[in-house]
Amino acid sequence: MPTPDAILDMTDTDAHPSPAELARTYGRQVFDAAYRVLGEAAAAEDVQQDVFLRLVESPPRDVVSWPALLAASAVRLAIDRLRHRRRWRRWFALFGRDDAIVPASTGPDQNATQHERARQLRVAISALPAREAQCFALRWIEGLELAEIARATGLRENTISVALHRAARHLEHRLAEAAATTEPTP
Amino acid sequence: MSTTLAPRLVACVDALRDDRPTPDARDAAQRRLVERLERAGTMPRPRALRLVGAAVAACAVAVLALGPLFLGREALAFADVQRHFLAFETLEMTIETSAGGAAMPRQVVQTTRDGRVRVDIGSNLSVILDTARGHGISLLHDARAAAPFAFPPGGRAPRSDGEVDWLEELRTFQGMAERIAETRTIDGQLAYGFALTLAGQRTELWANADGLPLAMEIDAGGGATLALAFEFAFNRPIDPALFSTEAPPGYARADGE
Repeated sequence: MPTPDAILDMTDTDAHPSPAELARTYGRQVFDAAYRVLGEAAAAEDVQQDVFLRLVESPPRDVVSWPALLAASAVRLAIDRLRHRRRWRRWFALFGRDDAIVPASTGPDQNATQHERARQLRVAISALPAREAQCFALRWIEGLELAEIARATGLRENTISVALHRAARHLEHRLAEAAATTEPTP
Repeated sequence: MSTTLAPRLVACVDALRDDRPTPDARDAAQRRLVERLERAGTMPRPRALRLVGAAVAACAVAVLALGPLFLGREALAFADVQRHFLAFETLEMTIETSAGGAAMPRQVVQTTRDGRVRVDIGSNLSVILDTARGHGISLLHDARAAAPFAFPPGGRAPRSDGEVDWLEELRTFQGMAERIAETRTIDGQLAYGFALTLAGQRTELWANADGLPLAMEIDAGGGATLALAFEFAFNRPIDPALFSTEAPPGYARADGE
């Protein structure tokens, strides 16, 4: 089985690793990337399976970095789900039941403040345009560099920079709004 | 973390990065992933096999399309069901929704072929649209308030992210609708089921032997126990007064959108 570094260095001139090999090597990282966006294990698992089954159906070409490509794929699919979940949340809000689709806490020892911050950020990301959300998640949550994001998404670095700037402003605005509605006034 | 992000955003990003799944969940997901890939076959199908697959699929479509001619009613095709959503005079849908086991207000949607729509949500809220004229009105019955609004005639009504596009997807659906082996009895009629994915959600559509849709169930998933159950009635007469976009007598007019 190729090591992660070996796969990282593979180019199109090398034989592509099979989806099964990639899954064994990167399956957990893909799961983690989806989980970070979604905050829920069952949904993250759906995304994880979707990422690798798509590799079976249509293998990508010219892959420079499998980790970046897989992270981009996981984040994109997870954001699709997050945005879809948001549509339902708005629908349920009509009936005062917008709590119905908020993921449950992931562990009894989880810090409540941290959990709330993560939840608020997920909600805010779900309201972003898809491209901004994907660029933000890849840069700041997955920690990819601009060049890696560009290769994995096919976007130009300038476009990514603009998307990141807009995403940050939108998120800061939304988080400030959320804080204003939850924090007691002095 | 770069200083380009505000401290509040940095704190939220850090919290999100620290939110990790349990090792058990991670391992179980990984195990199921490997098993599923083994079942799916991990190598892409050679081109020749794809062509064979495409030919088989084409034959299957032909058999489905011609099936009613040769096989009688047992060979109900999804297209028979789908066409009812493409060509109706009136359609009434009753939608029961539950979230986390709790029932939500019932919704009744009535629509006509010429583009008039009335949605009643519970007993308090109604939204009426006349898409040909570009007029709409929201009615809050408890408050006796009416909020008219306008949108481009002939176009679609004002949209929001809350809009569910399953009907349009169903009308244009060209993917694989899988027949469900079991049958049900709905409103005294034997019903045949199809499983398909609409708007990313698993959907079961049930129809009688003539392809008349009777019911639909959507599992919205997303970590919520969310389910929608539809009942359909096609081409029943509907009182035209129900589609009036004028404020009813006794309703105070409020500002619309």
